[in-house]
Amino acid sequence: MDCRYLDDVYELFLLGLLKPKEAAEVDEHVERECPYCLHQLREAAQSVYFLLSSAMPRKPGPGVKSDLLRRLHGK
Amino acid sequence: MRRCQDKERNCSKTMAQALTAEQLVAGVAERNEEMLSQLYDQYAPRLFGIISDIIADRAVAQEILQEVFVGLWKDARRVHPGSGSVWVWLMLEARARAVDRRRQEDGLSPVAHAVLKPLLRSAAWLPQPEEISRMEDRRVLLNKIVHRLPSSQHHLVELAIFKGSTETEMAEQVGQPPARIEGELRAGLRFLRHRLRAVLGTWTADI
Repeated sequence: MDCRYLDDVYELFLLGLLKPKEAAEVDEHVERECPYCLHQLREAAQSVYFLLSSAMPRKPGPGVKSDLLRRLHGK
Repeated sequence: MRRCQDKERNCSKTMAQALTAEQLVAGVAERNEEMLSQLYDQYAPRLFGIISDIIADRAVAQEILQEVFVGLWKDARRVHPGSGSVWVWLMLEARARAVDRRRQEDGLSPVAHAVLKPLLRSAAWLPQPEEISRMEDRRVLLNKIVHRLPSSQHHLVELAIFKGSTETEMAEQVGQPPARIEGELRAGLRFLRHRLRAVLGTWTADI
């Protein structure tokens, strides 16, 4: 199947910003494990990773980790 | 676009070499709290940086950071350790949760997190840790590529990544026709993906 008509939408799919109809199409291809779409999605994930990783690291408050570990005991 | 300090990045890379994120997640899947604790120490500052770029309120941002790790605690078995970069997954999770919270506060419907969960069916779309490492080695060059984007496209890409605005919402925000915004944003993202492919040499002809 020629999936090239989806070429412009893979990043938007990962970001949750596609219109529902387009998102459903990509999702269907992913579910069928379409090699072309999975490859494109993987490259799109690299792009999104690169863009997101431009954010400067910041230190969360000192109590966040201990609160988290406490929360896990209830899970 | 904001840049992470090289020093910080190298530090995180060195620590990751001691025990990779994938090995740590395998431990988390076995309910090993120490592994989760190590994962938190390695990745929380970078995840918190992403969340804080989306959510200004520090207390809410910290709550979302916790949610990311609680989600990992629940889903670790499904995150397919060894099949893809856990780090990429965590970043997408952090962004999605922060974007949806921000949209909720703005009276908009959530869009991002619902897409990610079904993707856990398979990890075939997740980049491999080695691919991410190769990308880090070429970060300087890749940064130059991002800066080659026309400023209008760069702005739209930022709105999509860090604000979680849909194309229709962007059109309203910048006062342009939706079709034009759609064309510009998609052209910008396509440009980045194609340049990335060229720099990393990831395209395979047999597809």
